[in-house]
Amino acid sequence: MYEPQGGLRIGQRAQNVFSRRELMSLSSARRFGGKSEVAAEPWLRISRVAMACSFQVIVEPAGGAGMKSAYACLDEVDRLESILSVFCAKSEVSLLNRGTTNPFPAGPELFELLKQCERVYQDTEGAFDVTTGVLSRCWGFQDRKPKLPAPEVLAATRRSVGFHLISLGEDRSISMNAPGVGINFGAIGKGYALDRGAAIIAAQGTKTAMLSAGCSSVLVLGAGPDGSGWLVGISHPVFKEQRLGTLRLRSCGMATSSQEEQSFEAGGERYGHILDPRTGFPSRGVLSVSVIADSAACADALTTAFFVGGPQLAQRYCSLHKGVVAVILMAGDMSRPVVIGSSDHVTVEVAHA
Amino acid sequence: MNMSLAVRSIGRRNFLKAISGVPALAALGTTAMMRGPRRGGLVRIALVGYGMQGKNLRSALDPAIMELVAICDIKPTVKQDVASNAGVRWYSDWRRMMQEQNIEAVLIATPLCNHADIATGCLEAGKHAFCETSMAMDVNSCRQMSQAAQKSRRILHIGYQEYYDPLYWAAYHNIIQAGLLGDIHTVKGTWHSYDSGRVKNAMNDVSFDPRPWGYESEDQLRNWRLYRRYSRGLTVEWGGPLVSLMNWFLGAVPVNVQATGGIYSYKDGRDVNDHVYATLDYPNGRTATLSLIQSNGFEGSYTQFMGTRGTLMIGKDLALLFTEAGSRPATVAVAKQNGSQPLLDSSASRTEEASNHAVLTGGGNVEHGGNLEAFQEELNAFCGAIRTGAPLRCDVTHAYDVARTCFAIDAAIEQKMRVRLPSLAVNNHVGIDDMAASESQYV
Repeated sequence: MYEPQGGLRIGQRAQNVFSRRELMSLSSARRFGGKSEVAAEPWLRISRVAMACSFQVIVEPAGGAGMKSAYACLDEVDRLESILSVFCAKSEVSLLNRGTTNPFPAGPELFELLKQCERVYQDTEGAFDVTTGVLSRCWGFQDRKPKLPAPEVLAATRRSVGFHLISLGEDRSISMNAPGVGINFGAIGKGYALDRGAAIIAAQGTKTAMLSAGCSSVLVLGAGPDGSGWLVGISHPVFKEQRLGTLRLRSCGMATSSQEEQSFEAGGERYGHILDPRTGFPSRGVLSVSVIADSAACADALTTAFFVGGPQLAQRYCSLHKGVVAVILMAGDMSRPVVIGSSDHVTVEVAHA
Repeated sequence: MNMSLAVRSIGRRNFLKAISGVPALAALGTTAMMRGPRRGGLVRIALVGYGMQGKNLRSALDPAIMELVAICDIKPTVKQDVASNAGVRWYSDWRRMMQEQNIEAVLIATPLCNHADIATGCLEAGKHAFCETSMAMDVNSCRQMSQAAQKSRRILHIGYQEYYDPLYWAAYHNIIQAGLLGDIHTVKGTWHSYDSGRVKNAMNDVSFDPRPWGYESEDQLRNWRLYRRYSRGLTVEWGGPLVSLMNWFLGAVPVNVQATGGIYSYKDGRDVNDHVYATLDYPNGRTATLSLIQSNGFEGSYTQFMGTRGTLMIGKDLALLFTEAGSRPATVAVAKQNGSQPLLDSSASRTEEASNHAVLTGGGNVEHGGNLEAFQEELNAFCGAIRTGAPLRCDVTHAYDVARTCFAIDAAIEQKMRVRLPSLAVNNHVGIDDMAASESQYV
C-alpha cells in the first residue's frame, strides 16, 4: 500500500482530496437554474472540553436531531470521564487505585474497558499496559514536570507495573495482586469514550459523523457527506507545517501518538512521555504512530503499543489482525512513514517531505 | 447558568471576545453554489459607492455568476482604480449610470441618506436593487423604496447579511427552530466599542470638493455615519443588525420601545449619539435589551438568546450554547472545510488550550465590514432570484421592520417616552403602505 509521493505541505492540495465544490455538491444546495430553492444546512461542529482536551462532533444538522445526538454523545463522554479518570477523586478508577477494597466490584464500563485493555496487552506482547501510570508519575510526566528518576526509585516502581498483576473475575471484580499497582486509562480512555459516544449517535439514527478528542483520537461513523470517506490528515511530528499523509476513513477508529508534545532533555538525551512498561524507560526510535482499527479505543491503545514495540511489533500484530493499519515514522527517516497492514475502511495517501 | 470551571477561567471578556472574533472553517455543505453561466447568462451588475463596503461587495462577486460592468462613485480617485479594470465603466453620477441598458442590477453601498433615491431610481429604471443596510433614513423613504419595487416588479433586497451567514442560518434552524432553548423570554444584544468611529486618515485626493454632492465637507463625507444629515448613527448603523437578528430569531417585531442615550464620550462635532440603551418589548412576554456604546469595548458584539432550556450566544462565526438541564456547555460552530484540506489533522493529543487554539485558527474571512463568505452567499442568492425567481431569505418587510424599530428607539430617546409600534406581521410581502400609516409620529 505504501507508495511514496510528493510531499504534502499543509495548505497545499493533495491528490484525490475533496474540492470545496465537490463538498458543496454533496448537499442539497439549491440550483441556480432551478425553480425552487432548497436550503442546505451547513454541518455543525459541536465541541466541549472533557478529559483535558476538546471533544468534537461533526454532524449533519438534520433539523435539530444532529445537535441533540451530539449533545447526548458529549454527555456520555462526561459520564465516562467521571468513571474512568484518575483526575476525578471520586471516579471508580480512583477508588480502585486507592486499593482499600480488593477485590474491587467494578461497574460495567470500567470492567468492559479493562477487558479490552487485557486483550490488547496480551496481543501486543505487553507493549500496551494501563498499569504504567505509576511509571509516568515516577518520570514526572503525569504532573507535567518531567525529570530523570533515580535508578532505585525506578526499579521499585517497576515492581508495580504489569497487567499480569491484575485479575479480572467472572463476577466483574478486579483484584490487584501487588502493592502499588494502579490503572491509568490515559492511552485508551479517549478512544473508548468516542466509541461509546458514537454508539449513542448511531442509536439515534445518525448515519455519518466524525468524532474526535484532542486531535489524537478519531472515530468516524459512515463514509462522510458523499460516501467516499472522511478525510483526515496526519501531522508531521517535527515539521509542523507538513503532513505525513492523508487518510480517507470509513466507519472506523483512528489515533495518532507522538512524543513531541510531551518530552524533555537531560544529559543531552531527549526523553518522551511514552514509556515502555517492559523497561521502565521512554521508548526510542519512533517519532509518530497512527493506527486505523475497528474502534477508536483499539486504535488508541495500538498507537502506544506500536510506539513501544516499533514496526516489528506492528508487523506481527497486523499479520494476525486483519483490518488494522499502522503509519509509523521512524527517527531514522523523517521523510518516509512506513505503512503496515491493510483495511477496507481506509485509503492511505502517504507523502514524503 | 451552568458553566464549567474551564469556561469561567477564560474570563468574561476574553470569552465574549472569542465568540465575536473567531473565524470558522469553510462550510461543508452550504448553499448557493451556482457554477458558471446559466439560463440568461451572467447577471450584469453595477456598483454605486466604492468605499469599504463597496469594495467588500466587489470582492465577493463570483465571476461565474455575475459580471461587473460599471462602478459609480463621486470621488475621482475611484476613477483611477476603475480605469485599471478593463470593461468596467466609471460614473460619478448614478442617474447617468441608470440610463445604461446593459445594467441589470445595482448594488448600493452609499451613505444611508442616498439609499432611497438611488434604490428608487434604480427600480424605476427597470433594474434590480441590492441595497446595503439599513433600508433608509425614515419611514417615508422606506415606503418610497417598497412602492418602487412593487410598481417596477423588480427585486429590492436589503442586505441583512446574517441570513446568508452559514453559522447564523445553522443556529436559527438547529437551535432556535429546533426548540433547544425552550421558551425564550430574554434577549440581550451588545455592540460595544472603544473606538470613536471617526475615520482620521486623509483622502487621497485632497482637492476633491464634495459640496456639489450634498456633503458639507470632506470630513463629513468621510465620517457620514456621525452626522444625522447623512445617517441615523449608532442606532441604525450598528443597532440595526442586532435588531434584525432579534426580530428574525424571535419571529416578531417589538410592540413597545423604551430607550435612553446621548453624546457622552465624543464631543467632536458629531450630532448622533455615541451611547444608546434600549429595551424592546416583544409579544408573548419576551424582552430584549440593546446596549450600543462607544466608550468601552468590553463584551464586544454579540446577541444572547436566553430560554427556559438554554442560552445561545452568537457573534461572528461562532455560537456558544449553554443548556439549563444539567448538561455542560458546548461550543457550536459551522463545520467548515478549509479549501480542499482535511477536516482534521491528527496529531499527538493536545491539551484543551492547544486543541481549542487549533480550532480557533482554522481559517475564515471575517473582516471589519462583514463576512466574505456570507457576502458571496447573499450576492449569489440575489442573482439566483433575478434569474429564477427563487425567493430571498430576507424580504423587504423584514428590513422595514428593523428600520422602524430603530427609528422608534431614536424617537424614545428624543422624546424621553415609551414608544409604541403598531402591530405588524413579519414576512408579509405586501402592505407596507398600510402598516406605515400610523407611524409618522415617531419618525
